[in-house]
Amino acid sequence: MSSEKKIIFALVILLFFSFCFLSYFEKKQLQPSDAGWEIYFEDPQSDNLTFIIENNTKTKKIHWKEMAGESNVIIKEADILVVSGQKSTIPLLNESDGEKITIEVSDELGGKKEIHKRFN
Amino acid sequence: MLELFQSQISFYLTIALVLFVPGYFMLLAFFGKEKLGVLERFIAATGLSILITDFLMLVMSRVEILFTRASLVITLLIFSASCFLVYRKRFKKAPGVAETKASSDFSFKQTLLIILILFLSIFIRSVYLQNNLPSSSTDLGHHMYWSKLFAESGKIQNYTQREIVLKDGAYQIDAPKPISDFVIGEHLIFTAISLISGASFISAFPVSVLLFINIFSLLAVFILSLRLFEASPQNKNIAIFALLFCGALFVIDPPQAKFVGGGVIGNILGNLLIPLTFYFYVRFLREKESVFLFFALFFSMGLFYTHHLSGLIFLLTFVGFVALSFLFNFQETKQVFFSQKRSWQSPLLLAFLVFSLVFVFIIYTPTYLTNSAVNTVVGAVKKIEHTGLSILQFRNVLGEARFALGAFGILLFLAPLRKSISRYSFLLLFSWISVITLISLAPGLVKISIPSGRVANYGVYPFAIISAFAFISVFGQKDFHKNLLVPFGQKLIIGAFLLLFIFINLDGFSDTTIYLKGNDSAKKTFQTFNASEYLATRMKKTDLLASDHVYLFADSWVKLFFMRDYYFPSYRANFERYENGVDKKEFCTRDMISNPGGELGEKCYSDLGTNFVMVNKLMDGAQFRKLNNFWQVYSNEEINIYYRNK
Repeated sequence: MSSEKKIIFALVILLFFSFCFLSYFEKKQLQPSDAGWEIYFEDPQSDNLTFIIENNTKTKKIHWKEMAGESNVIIKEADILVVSGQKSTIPLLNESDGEKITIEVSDELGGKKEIHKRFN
Repeated sequence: MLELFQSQISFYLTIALVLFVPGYFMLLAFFGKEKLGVLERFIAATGLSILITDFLMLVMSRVEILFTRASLVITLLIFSASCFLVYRKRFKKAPGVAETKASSDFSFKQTLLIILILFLSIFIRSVYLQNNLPSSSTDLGHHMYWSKLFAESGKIQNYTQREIVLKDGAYQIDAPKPISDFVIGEHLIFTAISLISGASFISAFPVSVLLFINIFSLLAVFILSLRLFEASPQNKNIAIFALLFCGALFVIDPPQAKFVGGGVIGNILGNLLIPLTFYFYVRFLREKESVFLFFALFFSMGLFYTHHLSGLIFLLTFVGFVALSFLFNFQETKQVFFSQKRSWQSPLLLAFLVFSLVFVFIIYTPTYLTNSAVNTVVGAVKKIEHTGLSILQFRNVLGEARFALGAFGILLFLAPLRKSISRYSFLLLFSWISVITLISLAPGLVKISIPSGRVANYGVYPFAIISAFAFISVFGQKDFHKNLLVPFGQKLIIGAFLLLFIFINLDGFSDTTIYLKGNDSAKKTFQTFNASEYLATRMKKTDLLASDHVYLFADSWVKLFFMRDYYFPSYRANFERYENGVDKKEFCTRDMISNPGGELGEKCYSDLGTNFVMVNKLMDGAQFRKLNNFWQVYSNEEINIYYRNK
């Protein structure tokens, strides 16, 4: 094999491994185990309060509260288990009488997020 | 696992089909295996394939053949097979016998060194780029929108943009207007690769393709150096050191891995095509064969269909080179222009002339010509980033070692020390370096208004070549001390060599240690993609979204989830763009995020009908939380989404 062919051969091998390496990391990054979790209303535009928790962390135990008004009076609360990479839908009926409804969700490490809708 | 394996195989085959096969067979059809070495053919095939794919897709679009996997594969295969048949017919009598004639035979140590440099070049770039996955850069997001649009619609669309304007006292989004920021050649290869391989635009594939092109641009410099210094017995060593100086040193700094990760597609393509274009001109001037001129012209034309700034740098260098050739190499240049009539009048060149005219006037005219964008480049320098760099800034862009050696190389060129270097090689390199230096340092003198920093980055490649020349001129010969003007002792020279080599490597690798530290960009990108996906599945066609470029990571990629318009979602730009009086003349995009409850913010929401907004929760969440008409409907680690309930 001539020296030029050896260089081409080496180049092709190096590029192949580089692409495999990048592809592996891309897959790894797109299936993260520490990308946090998210909460959202299933229907952002209606009065429906059903919300979803999507978990992309190793933690499983999640606590949620439904609170009413500016003073955040707790209406409902519960613990749920959401396995990493999964999501859980929590159906809620709108029973507010024209006030703000806040959904506050926290994990066992103290991370906290909230979403809300206002009906006044 | 099987799916991953299949997608990988499909991707590699597509890369070969789009970025190698058509160019390889076209080179075979024109040169056989005689005039280009194996390595030269392999490297030139990549640049040529990019241009052929672009041109074929432009023709397909013109004759209204939709871009699909089948149509693209068939077109590329028909073209390649036709070239192969021509090759078989033309070179039937001596198939593959004279392959070694044009090949360079490297020694074992040289081969090993080249492979080591390539290994370092690819390895460090890959390690850096894995921190940039999934892709998040602003430029790449913008570019991929167009590539995806062409892929989804199956044809080329006009580059247009919409803006918010005030009409009759009310804000509205005006009709689409042509934009000149993009050139078609920057996008078509990504469209082709995605359609054929099925790879998603929101994946590692664009970065992998750019890495591929970037590596081949280093090799283009390598083969160009081999030919520029062909008259020197040290040409292989010069080429190897040119590869080292532009490939393995300053690996991350622009225009290398940072440009790859940043998606600066035009510059990356330009840095491949410019050396290849010069390569064919150098071959023509040396060998006076019209087939080399044909390819030189083909690459020159391709540059203008790929990237306007690269095209301009090439054009100015070429004009400078011709002028310098008439001044300092009159006899030979006169002969090339006036006595080589047979070369100029060859049917091949006439065919090229017809091809280029048909292409420009009938098939596709680059948008920057139809939009008169040239007028914005030529003339007085207006923008601050166009006013030129200081010498210190220029040195930092090129890298201290490259800058110092490059300057020394120019002095060596000017000294009557090197008789073995062809005059054309010297004049071409001198013109290339002078044009880039002049536009980078004093654009006002040449009345060209383009970003000085971007232009300076083009200097890396010619400076790498001339640095390699300087280095080898001093240290690369057995009796090197006899070449020096001052007769130093041999031990002193060896000491100087070691010191210089250590300095070059320390300087060249210093950027690597800074950039290779991990970061959390993937995590942030993931948040933006998740939030975008949430909206894309829930927003109706009548809903409108405002987003933010200042604090949202990877925000330019949001539009790829909607594919409604290049302007969708509207976004708050960097604050200085609202203040310079040139870039942003409306303030809706700013106030809808910064002050949504203010008079202007309210009016903009009301007039435009924007009802969703996506912001960084820490930086911009507060002003929305206190407003009664905004519902916080989504929250992740970085982003909150608000719905404006009228």
